[in-house]
Amino acid sequence: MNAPPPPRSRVWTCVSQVPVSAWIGIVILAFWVVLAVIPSLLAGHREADVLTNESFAAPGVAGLLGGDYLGRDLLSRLVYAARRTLGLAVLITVLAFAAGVFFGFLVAASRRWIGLLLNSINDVLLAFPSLILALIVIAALGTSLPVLILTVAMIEATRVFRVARALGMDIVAMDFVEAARARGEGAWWIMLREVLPNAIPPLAAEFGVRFTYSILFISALGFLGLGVQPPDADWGVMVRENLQGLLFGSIAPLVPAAAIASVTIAVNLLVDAQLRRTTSDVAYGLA
Amino acid sequence: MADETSRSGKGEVTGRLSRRQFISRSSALALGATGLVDVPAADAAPGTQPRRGGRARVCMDTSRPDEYLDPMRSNTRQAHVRQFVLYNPLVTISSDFKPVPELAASWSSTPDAKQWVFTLRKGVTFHNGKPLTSADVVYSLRRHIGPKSESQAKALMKSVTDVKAEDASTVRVTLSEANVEFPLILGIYSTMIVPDGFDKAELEKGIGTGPFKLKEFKPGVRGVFVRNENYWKEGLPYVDEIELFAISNISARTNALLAGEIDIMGVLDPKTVGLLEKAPGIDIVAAKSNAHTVMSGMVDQGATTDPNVRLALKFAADRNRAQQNIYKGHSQIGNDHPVPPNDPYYCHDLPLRAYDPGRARFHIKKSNMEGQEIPLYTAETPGPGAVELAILFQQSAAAAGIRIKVVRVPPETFWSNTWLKQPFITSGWNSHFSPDAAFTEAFTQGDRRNETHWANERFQKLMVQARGVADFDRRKEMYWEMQRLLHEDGGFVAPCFYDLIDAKRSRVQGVQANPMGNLGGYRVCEQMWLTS
Amino acid sequence: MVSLILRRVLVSVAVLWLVTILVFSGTEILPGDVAEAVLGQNATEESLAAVRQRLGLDRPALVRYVEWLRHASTGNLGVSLASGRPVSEMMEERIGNTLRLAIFAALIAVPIALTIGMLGALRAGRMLDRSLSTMTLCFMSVPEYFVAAVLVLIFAVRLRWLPVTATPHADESSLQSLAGLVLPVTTLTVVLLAHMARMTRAAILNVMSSPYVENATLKGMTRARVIVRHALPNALPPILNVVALNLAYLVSGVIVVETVFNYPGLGSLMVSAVATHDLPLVQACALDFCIAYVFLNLAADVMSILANPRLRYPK
Repeated sequence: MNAPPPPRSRVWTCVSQVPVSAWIGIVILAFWVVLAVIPSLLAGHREADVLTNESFAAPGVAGLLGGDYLGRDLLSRLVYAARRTLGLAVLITVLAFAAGVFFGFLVAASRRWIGLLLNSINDVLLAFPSLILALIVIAALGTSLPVLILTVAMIEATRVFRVARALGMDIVAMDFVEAARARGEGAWWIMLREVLPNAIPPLAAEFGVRFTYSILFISALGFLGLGVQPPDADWGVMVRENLQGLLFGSIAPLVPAAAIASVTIAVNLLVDAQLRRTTSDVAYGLA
Repeated sequence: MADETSRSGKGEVTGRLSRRQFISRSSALALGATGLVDVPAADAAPGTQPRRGGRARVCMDTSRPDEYLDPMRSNTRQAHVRQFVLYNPLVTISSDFKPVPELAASWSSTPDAKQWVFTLRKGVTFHNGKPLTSADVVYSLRRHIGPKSESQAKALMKSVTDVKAEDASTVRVTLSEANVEFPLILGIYSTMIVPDGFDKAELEKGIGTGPFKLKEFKPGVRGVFVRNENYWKEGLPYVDEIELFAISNISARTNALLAGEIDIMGVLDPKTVGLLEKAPGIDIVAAKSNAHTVMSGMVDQGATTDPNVRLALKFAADRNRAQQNIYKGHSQIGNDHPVPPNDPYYCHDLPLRAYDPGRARFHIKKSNMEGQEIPLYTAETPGPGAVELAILFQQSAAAAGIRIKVVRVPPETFWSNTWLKQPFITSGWNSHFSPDAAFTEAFTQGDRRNETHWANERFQKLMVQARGVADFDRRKEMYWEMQRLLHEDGGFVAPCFYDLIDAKRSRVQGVQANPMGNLGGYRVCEQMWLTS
Repeated sequence: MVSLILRRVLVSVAVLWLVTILVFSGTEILPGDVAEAVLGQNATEESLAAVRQRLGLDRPALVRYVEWLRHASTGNLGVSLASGRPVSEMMEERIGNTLRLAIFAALIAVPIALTIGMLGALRAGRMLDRSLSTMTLCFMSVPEYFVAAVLVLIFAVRLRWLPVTATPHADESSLQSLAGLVLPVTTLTVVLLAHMARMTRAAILNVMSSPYVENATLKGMTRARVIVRHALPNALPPILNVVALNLAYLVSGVIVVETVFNYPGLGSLMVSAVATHDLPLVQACALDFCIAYVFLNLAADVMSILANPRLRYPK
């Protein structure tokens, strides 16, 4: 009789199960996170330093990737913007999810009047066009970073609430939840132990989407003249302020757009992998 | 020629101008002695023969849904162009800032320059056939005075106490103080002549004496105008129809010109001048102007209360950098007052304040503000390069130990939320027809528009006095002293006077740059023609 | 079912009323007022006072709000403070434009998104799914104005196939106005499509994990049939919600596209109204957007309930 194969280490088993696409995502994110933490690895100048009076200078005079519209080093600004963009997006999305999922599931699993009240409040906020709502709030309360974060988080939370509520309601309609209710379990328990575990895959998808939307929303705010304050760099603002560069054939607007795209893609690759992992092979049609 | 163009304004033109006379006259004015105009030779050459016909698409930079056909409510540059399409003023302002007879054939004043008599041109009719009389002029001018007036020109017309018709074609205007330059006020976009007694509804129909009649007007979208066949200037206008609108996004506007969707665009981004010069079939039209984007600090609020801080800020501005980086050379360097180097009244004695971080640091130390944060509020609204000016200023000030924090506010809310409310902001002042206008609008003690709240007795006295002085040298002396006062103590950091740059397709000819505003002082529609 | 809808309608009315209060207070809080916004840099204290008096701005806020509410409940939306024109007239001019853009974008984006989502779920994990996934990822990961700028550069400036701006005019042919709509609609579609497609795929896959669906598969049903007959109806609620959200966005939130393409729609009207503190106009726009949103969501919820009978009888 042959000896059983040597037990593989748990780490290797975990690692080998991660699909290639997820690895790509991890590598990209790791790249940006490292740069966000240690910008000096690639950034040769400070983000506000004006190096030349020429707009969209060619690579060489103004850094490896050339200059932006004001003659600053594109690469340095890109690197410093990584920290700002990613940090803001993470903070906003986490806040949005905390609030949105909490209230969404609460409404799904609890009595009618709470549901009605929260739903109405959410509807009021949701019905309003998000950019205009942000415009009014920021115009009234100022353009500081906390106001920006909380405003965008609040707006994103309303979207998450809707999704969480819809998911929650759907799951709640299922038998095992009925059973739990019949057993006398309270709303909290139902939320945590029944609804949440089953809602994770679509919520994971939504997290990825909300994360990228936060980045894009902040950049749309920058387009309207709100958002991150100059001269601080943020990828979205960098795209907008260098948009004229397209006429000049400059890569200045393309590079930050590619940066946004790379992070979006990376996050969603991970999300997809997670989705794949928690979905059975039968569901995927592979069994 | 010299007679009509002297600053005391004794115009001597009667009767109707023939086309040839008009063209040669305006060419002469355009090529003006002071070299204020920077026009490509082709457009000014008398050899190019104007051609009648065609439809021109004219595009400016902003339009709002709350625009009016009423000249006194003209609130965007696009609206200013429209006023010159539908109406005429009593005088027009030449490119060397002299009043040229328009609806007023001639005028004279009493020696104390407090009473002005205007003689109207004969044979002018409104679009509805009604002839122009002094009653119309009296009605039009009265709209700008009085407590109920909501006119944009109200402040300018403040000194007017009475407007009376002496006979069917003579109007007498009485001022409360002497002003030898008074006719110039009657040449801007808001003081146009409209028909007498028209209530608001009639005004909306845009009845005026101007080169075009109203065909269609959608506020915030576009206006379409057709030639006034009975226009009092013989032979004008050349084009059959004008479509006037705005594209606020500057890239879109430039792209539209490049793609051939518009014929002439106002307000070109200086960055793209080089690019467009190389593009086939596109010409640049530029004029040196006295419009500028500034940083202005209140003298009674915030950090700028301390004169040392103001001096520090002035020395901390890198004017050459702003000139090259923001305006790509298309500007003139300013000396912290509103008179540009190409103006005859510019004070040459005052040395141009160069970027001096050492001196700036000295002053900021004296004020104990070194290292303390000074917020600078900005938006792209007040003028070209406002945001970039703030960003560059933050950089150049840092080298002097001055910590500037740039706060960018939503562009639409700038005038109502930030201007006059924050102590240190970027602001902008449009072209003015004389140094007096510039001084008056921004520095009159107690006036709302005095954003710096600067109150200097000597300056006030000189300003009022100078208005009554006709002699050039005496006036110059007074203006020189006023410039010095502002330079030393005022709240302006004024690094650059930007050029007014427009772009057009080569098929558009007859465009004459004028420092009073983009698109030929907003008057391009009357003068242009299309070659194809 | 009917009582459910009735209840929702009542709640919606309450929501709308809350919105008007929110909008009123929001606009009042903003520093500055109509007079300053309208007169701009050339205002004098006197002309400001004249404007304020004429517009009745010197009355207390509550009085003004109640008066507006009274008029609005009878359908009279009032007169724009900044321009003096009837609010309904100003909105009518633009509603058509916004709806045209929204309908075109929706008609194109929604079917394509659902199809892509379903296809992705059908061939989950395989080449088709991966490539569709990558494509949707790329589409939704760049800012709208960037997509618009690139499209304009290629198709309008370089190739000159399409116009740079999309301003519709009465005197242009329908072909011209269609041509003008191509780029803005494409921009909107590209961005929306991705989100809806991904949500569809995720929702379907989630439902595919439930026992009865697995059962159907194991019974030998083809995957396609399983998806269409069993998974889709149950995955509808979140999908419909996302579609409704995006449609509501199309009808109100497309300021960026309106700005880039110079398209006079409701979004830019509202931004301009906020900037000029033009309260009646702001209220009218806000109400319009909210009504659209409420209606779309009601429709989505009704369809969800119809598709999933369990939801008709909440315990």
